Amino acid sequence: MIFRCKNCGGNTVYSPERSKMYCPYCESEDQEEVVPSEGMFNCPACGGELKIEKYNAALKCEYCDSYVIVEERTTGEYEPKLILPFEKGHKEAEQILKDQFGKNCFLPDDFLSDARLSQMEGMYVPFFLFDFDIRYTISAIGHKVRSWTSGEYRYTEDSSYQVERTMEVPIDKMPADASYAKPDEIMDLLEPYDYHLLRSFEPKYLSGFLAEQYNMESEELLARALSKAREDAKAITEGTIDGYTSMTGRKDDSSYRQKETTYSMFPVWTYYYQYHDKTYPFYINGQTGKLVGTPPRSVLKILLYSGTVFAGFLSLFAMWNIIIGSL
Amino acid sequence: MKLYIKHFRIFFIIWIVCAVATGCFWGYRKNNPRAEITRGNTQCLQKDRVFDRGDKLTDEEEQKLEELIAKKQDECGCDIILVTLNEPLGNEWNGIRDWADDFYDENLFGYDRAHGDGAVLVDNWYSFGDYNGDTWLSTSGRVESRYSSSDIDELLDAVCSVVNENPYEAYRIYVNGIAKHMNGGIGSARVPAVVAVIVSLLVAVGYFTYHFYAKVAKDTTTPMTYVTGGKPVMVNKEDRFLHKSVHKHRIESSSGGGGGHHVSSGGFSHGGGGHHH
Repeated sequence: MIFRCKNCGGNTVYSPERSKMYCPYCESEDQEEVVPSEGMFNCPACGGELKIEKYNAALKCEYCDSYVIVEERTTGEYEPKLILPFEKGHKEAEQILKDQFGKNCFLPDDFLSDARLSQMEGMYVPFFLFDFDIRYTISAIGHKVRSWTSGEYRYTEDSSYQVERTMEVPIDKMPADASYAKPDEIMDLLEPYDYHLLRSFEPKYLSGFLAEQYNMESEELLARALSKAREDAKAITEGTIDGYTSMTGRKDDSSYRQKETTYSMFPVWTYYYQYHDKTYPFYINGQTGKLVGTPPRSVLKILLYSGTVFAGFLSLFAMWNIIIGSL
Repeated sequence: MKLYIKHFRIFFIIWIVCAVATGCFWGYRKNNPRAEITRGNTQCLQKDRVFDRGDKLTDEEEQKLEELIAKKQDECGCDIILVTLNEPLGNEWNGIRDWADDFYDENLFGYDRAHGDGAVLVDNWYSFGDYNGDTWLSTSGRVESRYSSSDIDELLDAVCSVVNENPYEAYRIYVNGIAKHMNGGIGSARVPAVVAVIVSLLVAVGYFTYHFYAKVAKDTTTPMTYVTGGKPVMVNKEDRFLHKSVHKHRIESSSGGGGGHHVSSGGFSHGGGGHHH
């Protein structure tokens, strides 16, 4: 399906800046109508053949630039229950990259060029959100050590305690991305998202962006989500132990109860920069603007800039010696 | 190129200011050569600077030390006096300290004036207890103000590390050490070429590291991010006392000392410090 403007017939998209549907052609708002697809592989706007790749849930028609939502991959078992709409628009995402890397002098010249940044795409990434009740127990011997001096002697006192802590930690919506293509460690770094802005899924939020259906089952993701939840429960339990100089003989134990699992879509801006036959991916949390990615570096610039610093400081030392010798 | 100049603009401005200042200083000194240091004290009662009363040096060594001191004194503008003894001065630091101060004062030593800039090293070879003798450095005038307690300790460490095996070499270390420390006033602040290269290299490496390895993102979740209502429940909390143990050990005391600034019996200010052999 596509969303079409009732006024001008253009492709209406969801605008993060306006938080509503918007026609970029006639600038009207909330004037969209749904145009269903006639078959999965043709654009409802121009009839052109769509190059739908495996797991595409929303894509851009390469002939008319309309954003097409694949109904078969966003309904039934593939319909997300929740979605976090984009809060950051294309311009804001560009600015985030410029703010982060604008002063990095080792980057290639065109890294932040308008032409390159225009290739940035917004994408909804599939996530499963897990609810758990974690019970975490720490058992250890705690030592309180104090020392003092009296006369010619130094005294050290070690008081030992049996320390026990058990915490019940309710975890709500621990996210784990359900995409083989997206690196887990990068998706984890994009967290946290603000769940107050979670909405019930509506296809209109996908218009204007790319989207991927889930391609990993929730059972595959359970271990990862549970590991993250356990780490949180462990840190919370550890935080209740204080006043001890050191701990020995520590034993940790945990159990869990799995509750609800929710299929959702989260917003991510993606920027793929090609440099010397290598792709450098950048991801921006489409809600909070948090950026993850490692930029390429120009060897020529590294030598020029670092060499300038070296030569500059060396010559400053030489000047210092000349001045000192003149005094 | 535009980005390059913009990036280094402040650094370039500082560099240009320094280059101009350097040129001015260099030009000024070229047209106005520095005046030589001249001895101002005409009251000093001694021509010699080496007094080997403990008989630890050969005549030839004494002569060589006298020549070395004569040369170094004029370079650094300070009297450098060496005394060896072999007599009981008591086993407190006060004994050797007062002897050194009085010797300096009574002979009116000082390069610029009587009781002025200079130092005397008194090396008493009279042995007692576990030690072969004591060494005391008494400083006066500019030497007193330039030498901190740690500077004195450093010099005496160097002297005492070889004095038992080779007194002549130890006394050469003393003379050269004083001259090097005092030589040329602010000129001692010159940065050696090796140090300049290493520091510049470290700064460049630091600059490179800062820009190359700048962290792009950190984990900004906290353990409480996904906790419902932010309220985990404590089910069990126990801190039960088991036992207590106490250990004690004797505190080791250090040797050497007696240093610091003080006024001699003649009423003149001295600094100093001592070490055992």
